[in-house]
Amino acid sequence: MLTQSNLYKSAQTLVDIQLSYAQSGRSMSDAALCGAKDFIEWQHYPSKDLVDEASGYEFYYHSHAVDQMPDGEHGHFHVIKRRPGQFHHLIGVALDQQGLPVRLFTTNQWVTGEQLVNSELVIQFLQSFEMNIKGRMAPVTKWLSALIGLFMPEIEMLVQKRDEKIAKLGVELGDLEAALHSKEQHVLTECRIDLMARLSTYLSVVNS
Amino acid sequence: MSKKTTVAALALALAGLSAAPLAYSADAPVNPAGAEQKNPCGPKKEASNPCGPAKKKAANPCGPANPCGPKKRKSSE
Repeated sequence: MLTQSNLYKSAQTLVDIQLSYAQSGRSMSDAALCGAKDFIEWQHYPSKDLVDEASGYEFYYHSHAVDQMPDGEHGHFHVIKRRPGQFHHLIGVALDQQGLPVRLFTTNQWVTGEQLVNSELVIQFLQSFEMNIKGRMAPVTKWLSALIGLFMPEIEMLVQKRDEKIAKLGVELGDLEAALHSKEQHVLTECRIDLMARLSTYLSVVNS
Repeated sequence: MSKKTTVAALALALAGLSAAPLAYSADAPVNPAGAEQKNPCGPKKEASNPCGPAKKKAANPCGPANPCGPKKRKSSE
């Protein structure tokens, strides 16, 4: 459970990191590319994903073909929890071309090839999200961790609604496995987010 | 600097950033902007393969079964 103090810390951490990048002329979109010169559709950044083997968390950034991306979006992070023999997609975080996070989403099982687990477990994994990363991607990791904390209410709602949607689809198709592999269902749930408003809320509460 | 000012500073700094270029297809020229300048009166990019499949299909026509899957790891799978 995130306390108000933790939310303030997350907001402050996120502002500090994103401001530091912005003041040097870089966006989070740039940072997510890990210094790569070229941004190529479908390629992962970093190329082998950013992995913390000790915690089992990992993430990467990529873009689909431009004509398959929502307008104004640059790319998105996929956040994964890996366990022996299986992995689970936790949340997707889309950035715009200024590097602002603008959308959160969940995906169907076939999209990542994950073993889809119930929302309670996904939320538990997200609440414990922490990666010990050193080097140039350390700030990006901290930024992502702070973002997950700041938008945990939205994320919980999305993951719970994902479960409801897949269950309903399973009934409609007469088979849960068919629902999990339905190519008609890619993004299961999504919501827009307003980072600046969220930051203002938490940081203003502390200041008032 | 107050916290409100910090958020304002972030908004200001973000406003000064130029939009990051979108991803391009691995099949596209390495410098598509430069390539267009070499042929300023050439056809639009989409017209370069007038009889080819639509771009959307060509981008990932037989794409991976799990287009957003993480990299495979021998240690855990």
